[in-house]
Amino acid sequence: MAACAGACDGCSAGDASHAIGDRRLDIARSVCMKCKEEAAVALANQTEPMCAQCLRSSILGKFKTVLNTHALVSAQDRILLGFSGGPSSRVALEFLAEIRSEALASRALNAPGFGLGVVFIDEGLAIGTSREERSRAVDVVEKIVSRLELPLVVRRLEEVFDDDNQEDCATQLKNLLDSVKDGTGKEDIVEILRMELLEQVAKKEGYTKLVLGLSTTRIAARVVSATAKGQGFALAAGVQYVDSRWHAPVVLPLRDCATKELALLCHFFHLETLFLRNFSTLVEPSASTINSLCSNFVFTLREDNSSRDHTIVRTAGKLTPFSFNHLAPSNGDSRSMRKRRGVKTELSNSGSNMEALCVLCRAPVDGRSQLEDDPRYCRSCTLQIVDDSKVCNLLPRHIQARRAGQAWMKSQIEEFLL
Amino acid sequence: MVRQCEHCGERRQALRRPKTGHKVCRECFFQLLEDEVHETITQNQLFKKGERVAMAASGGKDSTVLAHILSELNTRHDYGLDLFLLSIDEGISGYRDDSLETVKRNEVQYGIPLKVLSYKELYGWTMDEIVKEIGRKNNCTFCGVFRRQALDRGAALMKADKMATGHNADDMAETILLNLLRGDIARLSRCTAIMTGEEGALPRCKPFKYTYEKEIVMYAYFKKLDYFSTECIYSPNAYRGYARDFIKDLEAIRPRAIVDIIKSGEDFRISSTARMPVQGVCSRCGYISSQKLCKACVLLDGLNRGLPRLGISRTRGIKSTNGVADIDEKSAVAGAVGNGFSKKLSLEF
Repeated sequence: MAACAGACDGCSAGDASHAIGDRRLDIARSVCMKCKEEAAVALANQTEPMCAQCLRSSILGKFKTVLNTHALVSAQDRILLGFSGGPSSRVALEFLAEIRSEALASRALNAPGFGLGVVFIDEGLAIGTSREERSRAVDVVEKIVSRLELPLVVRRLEEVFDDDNQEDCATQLKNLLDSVKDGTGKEDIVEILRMELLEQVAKKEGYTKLVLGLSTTRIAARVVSATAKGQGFALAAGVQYVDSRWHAPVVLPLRDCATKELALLCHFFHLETLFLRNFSTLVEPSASTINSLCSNFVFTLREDNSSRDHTIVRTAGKLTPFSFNHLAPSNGDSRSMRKRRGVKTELSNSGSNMEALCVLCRAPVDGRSQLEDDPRYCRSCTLQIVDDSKVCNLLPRHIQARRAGQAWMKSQIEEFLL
Repeated sequence: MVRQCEHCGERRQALRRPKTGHKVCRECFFQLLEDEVHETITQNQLFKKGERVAMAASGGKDSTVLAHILSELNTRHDYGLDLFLLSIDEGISGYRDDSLETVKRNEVQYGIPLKVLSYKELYGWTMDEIVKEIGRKNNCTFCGVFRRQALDRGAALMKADKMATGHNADDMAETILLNLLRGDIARLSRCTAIMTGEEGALPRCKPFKYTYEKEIVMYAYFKKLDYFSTECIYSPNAYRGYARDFIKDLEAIRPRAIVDIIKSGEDFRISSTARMPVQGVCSRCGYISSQKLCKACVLLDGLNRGLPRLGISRTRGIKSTNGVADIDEKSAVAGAVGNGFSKKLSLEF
């Protein structure tokens, strides 16, 4: 907003900036609105000045509320946390460890004494980080996780190719990435491979749920970038609390927290985080990817209105979700029990209405609009990743082996079925 | 080494199409663009033979090129349409008065009759007066609401069957993004329609829905079309600016992204049972409205009563027709004009 020189009367844009300036002064002088004792150091929930301790309990409260309201985690679960080293997953790690140790200590009946493990994916080969930087990163992660006495699995992204020879895996990854011409497509295929590897780890090590530290801000950026890539149909799939498209369903307990407050939490409580480069680090805006453009866009919007990311996620949340955005019913977790505990998320009807999914990104495929080329891939993957058949042949073998499936065939003829 | 046009292979390359990246000659560019618009019109059945169509004209590039292409296609493909230009004078000095001169020139150049309607005569306020009253933050809301109604009234006065606006692909993408950012799920579900108001008396359509803004500029440039190219003086503060800047950056990375946003907007899974407004009529002026009073009447009321935020953020104090006893002269004029129109057109609104 243009700064108001003070000369124009009735200029409400100027009023707004004065108000923001006033608020900043307010925090410095004000007292935490929760405990009313300590000095306020940060804004929680975008508008509430709080001291560090109350900020922590506010975020922890939101974390627990989401876990309980949507029954994301049960005592029988073995949870795998996808740890990137960033502030969001660092907070998720801290809180999950705390909740778990409290439960074990109390030994209450329905306290979630769940199993907890951590996985770190080293994507250095794809990004082009040096060997030293990569091993330094792994050291930091090992230090953080060992202090919390939790099992840690470290995998390199190239291991998704499932070859015994490490050199071969590395070569295969390099070849695949080189064959994808589009910058955004490259970034997206790395993310797809990451999710594939996470699923593999969860399956192999026997984990039943996968927790990702996706914050409101990052989900908002995904909403915008999915829109920009023409993925409007599938958008609703990746923005809910639950995503059962994976062997171990993915749950997002930090969906209601903004990156900023999570970062502030890490700062005030000295929770060590890791900075990892991605494809857009130190790259000119015009040469960067759509994903980073959207991420910067959301941050710009937040400067004008710090609740904007929440509004975006809320809007996207109103889009009709898919059948896999619900958890399958599990033993000892009947519908009536869930109702009693006030659980909001619905259970899915087992197996019925299974949508056709892209074999690469697992986006639900719109039966009406399909490109003829290869029905196994969604429109977006076809245009930005697999635009050349050469790329198809360089994908990991287990992805190549996936069939289009009954679900896809049904989606093509659904409107004609009587 | 001079390269040949990728389309005809005969003439020299003159430009690279912003939408597709194809390097073509001028003539092929004109033909490709005109054919694409024709495709959009026929595939979506935007017009019927013999219809009287009002083309919303501001003097800017979109409406100038719309007037040009539509009259061209009307002849070339025998649409059989009765076209005329409709312009609205919002009373923004230094902007609108200049662009209206351009439309008057278009009237002569294309031989299409022109009708001009002003906010002053319809509502009793010019935009300059409104901005003086309410400031620069929400003035776009007033202008947009008033203009929409003004266009409908003008078109009804001229006995039009349909209205065509120059909204282009960039506009559509911005609107979709804007609705996403603002949490307006109801608007999000409606904004991608290429034709709206088909159930009513005056449907409006957007023949340029898939046409890139850059290509419209290119067309006008190469055809040496006469248009007014300045931005509204109040636009720098508009929220749409955020979306516009983002889309410009996006287009630089991937030109296809603009139609991809439109496609996303069309594909969003929005439950049809989500709260959709029921269409009724305004109790004061008879215009279509989902509430008791249409937005224009609410905003106008606020202006006249010195409550600039009425209808923007404040809802307390909106009075129905019976409650407005002590109206001043300005709104009396506006009300009279409004009622005058509604008397003639009450069946149409």
